Amino acid sequence: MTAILQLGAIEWVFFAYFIVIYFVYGMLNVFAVFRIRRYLEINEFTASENVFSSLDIPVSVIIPAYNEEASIVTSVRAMLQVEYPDYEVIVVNDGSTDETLQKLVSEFMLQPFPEAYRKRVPCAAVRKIYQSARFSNLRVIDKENGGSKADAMNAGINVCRFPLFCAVDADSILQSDSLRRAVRPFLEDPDTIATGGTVRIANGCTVRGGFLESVALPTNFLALVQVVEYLRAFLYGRMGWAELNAVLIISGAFGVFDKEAVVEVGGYHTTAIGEDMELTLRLHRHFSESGRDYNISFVPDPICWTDAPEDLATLEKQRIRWQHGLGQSLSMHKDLFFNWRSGPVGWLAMPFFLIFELFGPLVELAGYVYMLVAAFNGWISWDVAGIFFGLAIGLGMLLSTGALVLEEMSFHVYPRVKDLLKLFLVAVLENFGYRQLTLIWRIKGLIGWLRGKVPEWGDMKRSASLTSE
Amino acid sequence: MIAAAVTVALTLVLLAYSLGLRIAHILHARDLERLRARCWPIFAEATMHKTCDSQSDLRTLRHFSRIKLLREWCRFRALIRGEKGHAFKQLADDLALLPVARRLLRRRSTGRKLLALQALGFLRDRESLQSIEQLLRHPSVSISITAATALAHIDPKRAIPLIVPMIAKHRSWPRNQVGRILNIAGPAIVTGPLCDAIESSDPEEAAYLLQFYESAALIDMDSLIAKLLVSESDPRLLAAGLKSVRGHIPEVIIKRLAQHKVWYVRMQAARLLGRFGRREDYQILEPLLSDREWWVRYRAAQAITGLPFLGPNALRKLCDRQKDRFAQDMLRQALAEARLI
Amino acid sequence: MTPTVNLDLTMPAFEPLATALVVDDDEDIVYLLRHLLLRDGFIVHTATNGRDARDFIANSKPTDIVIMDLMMPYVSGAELITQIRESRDWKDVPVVVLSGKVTERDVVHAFEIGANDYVTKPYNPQELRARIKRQLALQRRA
Repeated sequence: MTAILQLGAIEWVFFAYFIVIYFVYGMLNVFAVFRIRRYLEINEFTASENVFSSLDIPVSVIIPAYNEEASIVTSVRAMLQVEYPDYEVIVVNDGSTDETLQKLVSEFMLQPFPEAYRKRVPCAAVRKIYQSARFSNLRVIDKENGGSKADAMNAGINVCRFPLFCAVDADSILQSDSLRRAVRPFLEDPDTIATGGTVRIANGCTVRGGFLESVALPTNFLALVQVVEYLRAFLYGRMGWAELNAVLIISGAFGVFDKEAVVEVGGYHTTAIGEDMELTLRLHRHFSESGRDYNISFVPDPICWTDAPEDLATLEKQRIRWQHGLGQSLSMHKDLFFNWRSGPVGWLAMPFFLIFELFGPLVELAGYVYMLVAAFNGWISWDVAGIFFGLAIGLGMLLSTGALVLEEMSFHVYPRVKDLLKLFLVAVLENFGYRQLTLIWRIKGLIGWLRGKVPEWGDMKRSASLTSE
Repeated sequence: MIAAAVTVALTLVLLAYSLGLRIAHILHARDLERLRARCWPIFAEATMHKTCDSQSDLRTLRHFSRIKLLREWCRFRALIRGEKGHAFKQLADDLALLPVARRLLRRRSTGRKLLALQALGFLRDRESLQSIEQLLRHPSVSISITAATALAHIDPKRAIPLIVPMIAKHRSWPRNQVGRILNIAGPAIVTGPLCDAIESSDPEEAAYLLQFYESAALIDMDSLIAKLLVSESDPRLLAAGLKSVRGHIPEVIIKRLAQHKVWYVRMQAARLLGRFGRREDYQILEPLLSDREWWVRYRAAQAITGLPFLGPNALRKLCDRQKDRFAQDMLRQALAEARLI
Repeated sequence: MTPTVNLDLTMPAFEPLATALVVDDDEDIVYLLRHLLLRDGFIVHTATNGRDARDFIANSKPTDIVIMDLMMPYVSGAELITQIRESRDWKDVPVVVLSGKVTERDVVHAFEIGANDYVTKPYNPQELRARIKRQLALQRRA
């Protein structure tokens, strides 16, 4: 232990980095514990509400679709069966080159609808609008390809009729109460302008007709690791930040927004890489600058399940994109940093994301390399290097297992005790190899963003469990 | 090495803790299932009888934890209504659940308090009225709204005049739950206090209160609304007022509001005229089809499409006759929505 | 949960061997309805989602009555009613809707597409029983 006292400045930087990052994560974990406990105590009395009146807020669900012929009919059908008193579904066909539109037309008996279209937020030209003869609350917008999901979302915003809109990915798998749970913050706090929900990994689960039927762990190791990653990111990444009203991302896979608030800030940014984070930051910026009370909330219930990539190449592309989007969004809204009006967003969350999420991988990798080199050359003792690696990896394990404890306290999503043990094993193993791998991908994304290179989309390979039916 | 050992040890502690939680969860679920299998048939049976005399059944239930029994009783009670005709409530008396609920009300935990409030409401426990009334001002939203719900169950005549003035101040009370409270009390009790509150609050609060009109008696509100529409100028209140009209209000009032400078007032006027469906109002509606605001045109077009004296052919002709392109587009959309073209 | 049924002979039972289909995604409600119908001598079929109900309707002999919710996963209550009214065998089966939707518009819509009666949640079990009885009597007269 005395070795620690003889450290030089460089070593201290790396030690300090790890100590600070884990301290913040630890604090977020504590916030999340309190928030979830409070939420669960109340949840028991509100979860089973099944009486609806005209006082519930109607919602427009917007599903952007680009070349989704295999799954679009199932996802739309699922959306039409969601348990919610008053809502409409708007599918935006973003100039698909496959049979997406034709599939929709024949399945839902779509007929051309003479919509008095008005453009409130920018998007590519709309070709035609259809309404279903079978479901009067289903409309399909056929538009020119705008090159981004954001562009399609904006077209949906232009035609939706209700005060709230819900952004859903065409391949998101929902539960029948997803919408009801996500809308609750709007009822409980009139200043709410957006809410997100916990996204979980669908690989391994049984999905029928676009709904989740039973939950199980995936068999693929990469997917398993992502289960733990998502638990960490959502259960206490976002729950913790929500406690400070500093949620920086409402996931594009499932989020509910106040339409007028989004129109006020100009809709989605059509060329941003991470359009979901960009929009969330823009909302923060606009509302804090105009000095209004607002709340961007988060519900911990698992409400949306998504397909995780099971091969390294796709996963790599996804992570490069994420990192690129993070850099872009943060730099676009750099005005928020330490702005006297921006509160915890500008003073805590954004600096944290900048230092630890965006540039963190660089520091972490440099730390590993430096410690190894230094120990080899005898600049520092192997003991110090050992402590460093023990700390870096051990705290990582602690963090992941902390997320599992939180999950165990709250939702018990994975039914078998065996699943729990498996997740623990994964939480330990991910620190040897996987974590370092994502580190390199994230650095690639960071460099890509710094050089202004546009990242490519990974072609998602669907796992078998999802394509059935 | 010590650092590594500590983190590994801590990780193991967390693992053990999770396993403990999981085991507790499984045991709890099993226990609950056993309890349910026992008590639900007895509960269901009680709803079919005027009195219940199944003492032998109850004896088996007495082995279970009172709190769990109370929770199941509440859960079942939430499914049904009309307790006068059957013996379900009597079951709670036979099982001595009331003292349990009263005791839980004094607990600090939010969960316990909520359960107690729900139960005392269902049990209509007048003795707890005062302690529940104090909880109306509790900082936790879920406790205060559940307390309000309980009061509406126990003594609506006393509770509603107390609760209604709080509604506009307590915006964190979810609207749908407020609506439910007013529904429990019923229009006969709600109308008076609601009208009083609307008349005595500022325009913004009055506009908020008006959305609960559905829970109040209908005719009494119309005269109040007509009065507000003449005397008030806050556009939000005017729009909320127009939205809440149930019967009829004088034409002059609407005519004036259909030309109001704020668009959502014009929109609500158009909507209301559509509901009236009177021939003479058509003259007011048609100009709104060319309004500069999309929503006003939309509601006006919907209103015109629904007019009882215009058949599909007349409507289609009307649409072709429009000189303003915006009016024509909107009318065509409304016709399509009504499946008339 | 397996219900234990104590047939109460003092209560007037329906004709023996009447059949009912109960569809609701709330298992508590299905349980309660099943119990109530069983004690009146019904043979009860249950489904906790719209798709199972749809399959049942497509493949089975019609029951004497259907009691169902409107909002359910996979296939909605409205679609089920339409399916029943368009089915050759099932088209005359009375449908009692038991729903948490309480607005006028929802009630009117349910009747428009072919529901015979509409009861809102929470409901009075004895009232529901009386309504079921009335629908069966009307059916028999027809």
